[in-house]
Amino acid sequence: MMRPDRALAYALILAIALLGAVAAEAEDTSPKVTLFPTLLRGDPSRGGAVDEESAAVYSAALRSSLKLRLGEAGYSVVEDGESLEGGFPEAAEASSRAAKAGSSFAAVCELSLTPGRIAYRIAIYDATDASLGAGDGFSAFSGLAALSLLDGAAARSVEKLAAYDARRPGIARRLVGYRLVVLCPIEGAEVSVELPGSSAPIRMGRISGGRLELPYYPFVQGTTLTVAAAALGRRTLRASVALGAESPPSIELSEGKPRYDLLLGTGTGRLMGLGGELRFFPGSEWLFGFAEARLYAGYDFQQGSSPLVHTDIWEGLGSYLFFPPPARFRMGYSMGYGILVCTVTAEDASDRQYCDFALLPVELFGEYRLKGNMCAWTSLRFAYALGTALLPKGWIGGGAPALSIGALWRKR
Amino acid sequence: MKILRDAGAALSLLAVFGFLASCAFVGNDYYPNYAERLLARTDLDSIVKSASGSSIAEIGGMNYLESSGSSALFVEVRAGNGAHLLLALDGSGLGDAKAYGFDAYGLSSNVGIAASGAGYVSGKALFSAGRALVSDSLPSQPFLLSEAGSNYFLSLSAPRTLQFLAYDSGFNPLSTTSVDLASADNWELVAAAQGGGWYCLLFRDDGSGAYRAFRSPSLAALWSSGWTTLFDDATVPAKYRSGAFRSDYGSAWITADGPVVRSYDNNGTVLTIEPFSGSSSDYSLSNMGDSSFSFGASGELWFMYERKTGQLDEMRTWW
Repeated sequence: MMRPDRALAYALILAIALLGAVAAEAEDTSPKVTLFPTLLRGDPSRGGAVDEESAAVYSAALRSSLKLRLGEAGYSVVEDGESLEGGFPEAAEASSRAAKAGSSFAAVCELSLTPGRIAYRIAIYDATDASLGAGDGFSAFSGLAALSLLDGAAARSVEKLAAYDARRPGIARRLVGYRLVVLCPIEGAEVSVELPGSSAPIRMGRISGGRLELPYYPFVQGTTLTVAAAALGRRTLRASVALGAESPPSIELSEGKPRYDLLLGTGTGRLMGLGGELRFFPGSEWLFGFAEARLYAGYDFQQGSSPLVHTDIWEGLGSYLFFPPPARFRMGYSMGYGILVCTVTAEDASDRQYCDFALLPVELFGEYRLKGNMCAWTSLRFAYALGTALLPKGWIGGGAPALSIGALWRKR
Repeated sequence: MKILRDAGAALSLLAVFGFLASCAFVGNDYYPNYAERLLARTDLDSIVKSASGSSIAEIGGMNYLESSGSSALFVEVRAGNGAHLLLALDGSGLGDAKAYGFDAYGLSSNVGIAASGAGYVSGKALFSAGRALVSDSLPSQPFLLSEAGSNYFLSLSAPRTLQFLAYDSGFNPLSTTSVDLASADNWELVAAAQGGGWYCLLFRDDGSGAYRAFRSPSLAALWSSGWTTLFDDATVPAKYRSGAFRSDYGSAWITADGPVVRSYDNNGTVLTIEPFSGSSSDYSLSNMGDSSFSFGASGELWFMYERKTGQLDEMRTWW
């Protein structure tokens, strides 16, 4: 048999709900508030288990009070029956869903129930920018007295909402009325939008046919958005756009054309030294010219050996062969020629400098993008010496490729 | 997680690099490894061409000698047109090459240092320290050593006796001293050299192909300190002799530090010094073609002619 105080509570709730429904129907043209299912938290000492029966009572009381007070203040309430998935903070998800539902505000109630006590929170977010417009919360002993406290919290929240709403004239008029179009070369890339001050990007859809028209979202004029397109194995492309009264041109996501690369590295046969290479891209992301300088020493760490200092200059042309510019991994080919000067450092040497010339018919290289414009880079070089000085005529290294490894920085 | 993924990719690249770098197919420095001990280089083929009109067909003996502050490298060559020459190059820098007709002057591929800084002796010819021909009428013996104003031609007059034929600095005969080889084997003297304060002898047994090497701080010690039986290990201190050793390819050189032998492995030529005292030391010449070698008697310099390039290199030794 139901306890008398609980029966009285149900009767009060029913009465408040009826009054709220009547008020809401009377204000159909008023600003809308989307009310989401109450977030319930249980007793941590019992593994977070929620007392369903008590939770239903207090949740119903809080929601009914809130709806009643909103209705009294001139707002219409739209209930969204689907729970918020993102958890706390719920601002971005709640605001986004409220905006999609055509509401100006998103209301979220939260109850935490522990034996003998109840904590409650009301948060009302501005659907245009996910900012907190109004809210209230406190804790109390369980029981009938808590119901009046919940009603008081609802009343104070709505009062604050009304005050906030009064301070935001024109926001609605500043909502952009156009749809944004994103152009991106990565098919299937997921496009998201980051709002200023929000850490949670809003997913907008996937690129299809090189474009995506963003679904409606109450973007506010004057806001600068960051639009991002991400795909597995590709670098995330980003662009910022300032929203004005007029529709901007399509938002084009691309990395921009590379201007030049700087490579630093070493390799087999020249581990005692470094090489630097400058690539320049004459208007293409696929073709480049390069000039490379290597400075290193040869030394066999045996008696009688003196460091042989090498200064190699290589120049030529190269091309990427596989995978498009946004890919994380790319491969290519280059060719050219080399001027290889080595200096004997032995004090009693009578001949100190030798100059070899070499052809570079084949060099295969690969790059793996690590972060931003930095890549790890490696290459296999097959070079042919012309036999002009120390290097015997023929394939350098007896035909075995020279392996190089290093890092690459790209300037765009 | 992204950082970990990127770091993993970088480590993978490094691992691949390390693996490949350790593989023989990638090879070592693409410069010849001897370049790190190179002191001078000359295009010997061009020298022969200008002297004979033809390229080198064959390299005979090479002898590096130091006398009275000068040095010289004598190289016996046969040109493609049949010309037989003895080239005399400056030992410092391999320049200023002089070419002499081998047969016209009765020359020998074995060159010795004449006493009292008179120059160098090859066969019947005496060359000045500047490698100019001074005389071509000396008594001819295969090997010459000099000490204290006297010249000593070496001769194996009998299978077991090594004779030192003494001459004064003007090559007038003085006396003859003999050293018993104390062996029934057919030992041949294949090299005699002096340098670095030592006199060095290299013998080869024609029957077994084995070599033995000796060194002495003076010639007099060879015949006046109980060494009268040279091949008797009981009479020659260990630091002055090597044991019997082999050179499978018939290439051995004598230096004051010990004999050097040539062998081959999968990568090419291996030169090994077998010191009179201490442990042996190898030097590998990878990817080398047909080459000729010579070692200075002092053990400080060595020379290499590579047929493929026609270049003659002067280098420091590795021990």
